[in-house]
Amino acid sequence: MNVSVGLALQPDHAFLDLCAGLLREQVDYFEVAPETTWRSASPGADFEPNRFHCEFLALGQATGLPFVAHGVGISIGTSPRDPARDQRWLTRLIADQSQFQYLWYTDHLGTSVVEGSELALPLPLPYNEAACQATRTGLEIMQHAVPTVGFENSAFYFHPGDPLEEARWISHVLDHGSAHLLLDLHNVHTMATNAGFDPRAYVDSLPLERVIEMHVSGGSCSDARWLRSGRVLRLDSHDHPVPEPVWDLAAHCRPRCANLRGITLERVGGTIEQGDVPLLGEELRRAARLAGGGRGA
Amino acid sequence: MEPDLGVYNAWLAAQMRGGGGDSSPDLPRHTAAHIDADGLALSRLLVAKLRFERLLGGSAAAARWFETDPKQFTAAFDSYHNQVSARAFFPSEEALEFQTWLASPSAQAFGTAGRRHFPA
Ligand SMILES: [Fe+2]
Repeated sequence: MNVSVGLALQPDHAFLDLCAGLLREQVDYFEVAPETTWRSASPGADFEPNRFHCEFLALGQATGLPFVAHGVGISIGTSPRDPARDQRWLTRLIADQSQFQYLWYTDHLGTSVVEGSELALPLPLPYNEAACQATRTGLEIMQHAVPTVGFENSAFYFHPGDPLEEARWISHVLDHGSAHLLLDLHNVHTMATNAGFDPRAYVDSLPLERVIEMHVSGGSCSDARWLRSGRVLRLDSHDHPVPEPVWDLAAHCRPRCANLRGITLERVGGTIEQGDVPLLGEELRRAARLAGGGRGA
Repeated sequence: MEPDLGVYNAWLAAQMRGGGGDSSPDLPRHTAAHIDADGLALSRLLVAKLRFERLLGGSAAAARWFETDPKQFTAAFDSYHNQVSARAFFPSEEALEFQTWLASPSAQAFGTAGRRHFPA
């Protein structure tokens, strides 16, 4: 199967201007967080397209390249779910799907809405049957908008069990149904660094044949003043180049991901200048070599 | 033993609140033993940071207040974050929630400054 290379689009004009050449010449698809293309007039109101909705669509039209969706808000593992909130997401996503024609739609493992509170950060669930069912339900809801769905292994900073158990639980969640895994290697690296486990042991316990997309990115560290203990933890902040351990992990996983369709480079807006663009280009070329093809290889 | 999902969610909600889990239900000992206290505190901090950024992104008045008096604005935000459960996903929604709180008796301590930055 042909494996493509993508870049995550940021709702940031400086980022889009700096990356214009890369977006035209070095990627095969664009990844979009649908929520970054929406706005809301008031709590509970229907989501409306913002200016990036139109600009991203124009980019797709100008380049002829497809989109994949990587959401940040549906909160896959929330339980019990709020039907009105789900409907708010679905209404917009269904309308978007007719325009963006997302090839697949993923969001993050875990829950970012807990007892009605919008926490915006994916938080871990226990590795049990009830959480497995909640996650499967969330995935089924996403399928109302886009037929091909999945979840990304999130970077959690604490674990309600042995983190290696999480990888086995992910296998169990994916046992039934057609959902896919978005394997984020920086997230694995971040958790392994903070919790002190072997990242290869984690990825080797995952159902790698279910990986549809890989994420490569970098991060930074927390400030020593943030925690009373003074401890510094690695953050999944996408604000630095992809570190070597992430590339190593990607190379380790790649041959095992028989159904992989895309490798996406993630970098947040506001963290690059003109001088960083050649390195981003090199990262996309490296991703293309890993993919075994891609326009930038 | 794995925690019941309802108990776990109640624990998580309490842990992520501004105050930081004072009224949190207990998790089974086996689960609690795995929870990294620093990682939990970092998550709580990131949740607050994301809300803070959401508010500044949605309200020019809040951003101005933060710029002119960061200490007082941060105290007001802390109080808001502790008292009001997060219902907003978008910055514009967070801005409305904050403004409503600021006009309420619970925000009395910040009333004068609040009225200066958010005139009715
Ligand atoms: Fe990711």
